[in-house]
Amino acid sequence: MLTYVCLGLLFLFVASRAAAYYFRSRRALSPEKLDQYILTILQTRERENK
Amino acid sequence: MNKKIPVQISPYIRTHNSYQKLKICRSCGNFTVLGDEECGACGKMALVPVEDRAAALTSGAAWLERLLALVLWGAAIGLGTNDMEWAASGAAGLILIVLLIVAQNKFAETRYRHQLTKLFKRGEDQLVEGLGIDHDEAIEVFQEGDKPLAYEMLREVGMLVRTDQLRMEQILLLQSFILRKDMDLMLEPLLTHRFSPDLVEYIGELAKVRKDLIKEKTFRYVLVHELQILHMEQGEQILARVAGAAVRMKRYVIMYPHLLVRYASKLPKDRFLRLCMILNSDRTRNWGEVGIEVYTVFNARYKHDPDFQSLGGMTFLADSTRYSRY
Repeated sequence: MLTYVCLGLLFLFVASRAAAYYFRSRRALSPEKLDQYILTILQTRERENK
Repeated sequence: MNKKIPVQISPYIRTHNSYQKLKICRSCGNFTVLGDEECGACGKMALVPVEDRAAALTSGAAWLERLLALVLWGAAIGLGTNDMEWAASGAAGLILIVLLIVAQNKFAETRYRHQLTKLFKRGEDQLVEGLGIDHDEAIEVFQEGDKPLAYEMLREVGMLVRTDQLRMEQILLLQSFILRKDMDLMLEPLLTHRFSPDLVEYIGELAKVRKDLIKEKTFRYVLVHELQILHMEQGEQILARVAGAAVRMKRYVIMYPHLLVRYASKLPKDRFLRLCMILNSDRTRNWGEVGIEVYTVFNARYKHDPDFQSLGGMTFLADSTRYSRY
């Protein structure tokens, strides 16, 4: 019986990881957007410091 | 006037994205664009390129997940009490672990980018602070007297921190150097939002040694601040040099006719000849005011010049001149 519990946990674990990868892939910024994001942070902070 | 010094400047190594130059400290999470190995914030030899760090963290997380899956698989087999359970757990576990690895590989690129994004989002403060430390280090180097190195450091910081202050610091340093054609110089990243006489002087210098760096943004900057430039001591000469750089391409002659109309008469002979050749290359076009100005200057100065004889007296401009006047 415990075997099936462990298998169930393994199934849930793999499914949760696959779902997480899928949703992260939609949220991950493209290199261009990441570049823009960094430049925006730095410009905003510079303005705040002034 | 300050004496200009001859210097050697290392070529700027360009990257596709500006964040690719950043390094992160594995110990304190501080960012830098200047450090080699030693972190400027905590002093530990723990700097690594931010992309390598993201790749290492992504790979580490993947291995941890695989290990956890293996533990669950091992437990499922180990806790089996009969052949049926052993066979079921062995086969199902194997399929699930293969599925996990396939999913990890399929989303490898986006997992890496997500990790990179997370590093920057979590480390916003360290990023700002780290680049501030880099800037301070560059100023220290300048105060110690190593101007070329200070410029190189400011150039690295300036590609990320795009403020007028950093641009001005770079321009002032560049203005203290003797600029040469073989130097890896830049102009567009240094264009300030406000008018700066030092920047204009730098543009004038570049118009002598690196005309290829004078492009659309610079022409727009010069035209926007034309009146202020004319009030400068060498203002008119600088504008004439910029106009000379504009005749490099037909596109610029078409896009910025006002610059050429006003300064065509101030162009040196070789630049004026180049302008005439551009106009001559498209004889059917109505060159408007530029055509009128070029025709006037040509008739006044170069009509009998042997270098201009191949242009056939620029007679095609006489027609367009008539159309444009009325």
